[in-house]
Amino acid sequence: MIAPIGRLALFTALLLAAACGRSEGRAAGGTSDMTAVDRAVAVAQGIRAHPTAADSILAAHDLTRDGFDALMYDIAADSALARAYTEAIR
Amino acid sequence: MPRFLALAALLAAPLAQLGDSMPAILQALQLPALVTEARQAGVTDAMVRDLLDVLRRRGLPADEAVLVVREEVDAVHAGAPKDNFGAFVQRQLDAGHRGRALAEAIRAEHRARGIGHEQVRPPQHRDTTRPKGGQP
Repeated sequence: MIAPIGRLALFTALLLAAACGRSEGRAAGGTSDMTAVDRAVAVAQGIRAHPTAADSILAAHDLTRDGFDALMYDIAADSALARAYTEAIR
Repeated sequence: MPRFLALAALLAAPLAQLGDSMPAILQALQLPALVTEARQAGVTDAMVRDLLDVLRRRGLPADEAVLVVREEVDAVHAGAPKDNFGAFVQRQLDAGHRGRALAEAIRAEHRARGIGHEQVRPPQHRDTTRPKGGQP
């Protein structure tokens, strides 16, 4: 009786680990990347709407000036993200 | 190119409101679109990344990186070899140039090699975000 339960627990643990692994991969390659683009686009659109409030708009998106520079570099370095940003900003 | 123009149009309204000033943040927002333009012009992704890495390691803020990348993209549009993308940047950085002086030095290097800039910038290209007269 214990052995089947142990095997079931092990199987469940492996399933969970696999699911977590996939989730992390998606976050690294998908969700967080899209968030970076969305964030940059939101900043661009915010500054378009309120050009004199650029610093406040950065702060509203939890970005320091250095963080904003890093965001721009990160997006620019990734061809897919740069393309997505460029298209979204149209 | 159309995408870059769209970005330029997006930024045109705030720039018009700001007059001649060019906030660094507005300029920095162009970086992804500029490198996209470079890639679409045939510059390899590796070369784009290499240039960005150099600029980032040297601590150039994104708005200054835009000045540099713009010069390189213009040079490609003017007929400079694509495999030469960013080739002069390291040397000019080593010479201590930064900001507009860096962009001017890169432009001068291209000119010295017969790559002009005046004839390459299409009329609707960049002018909404590029300061006139080369002064900050």
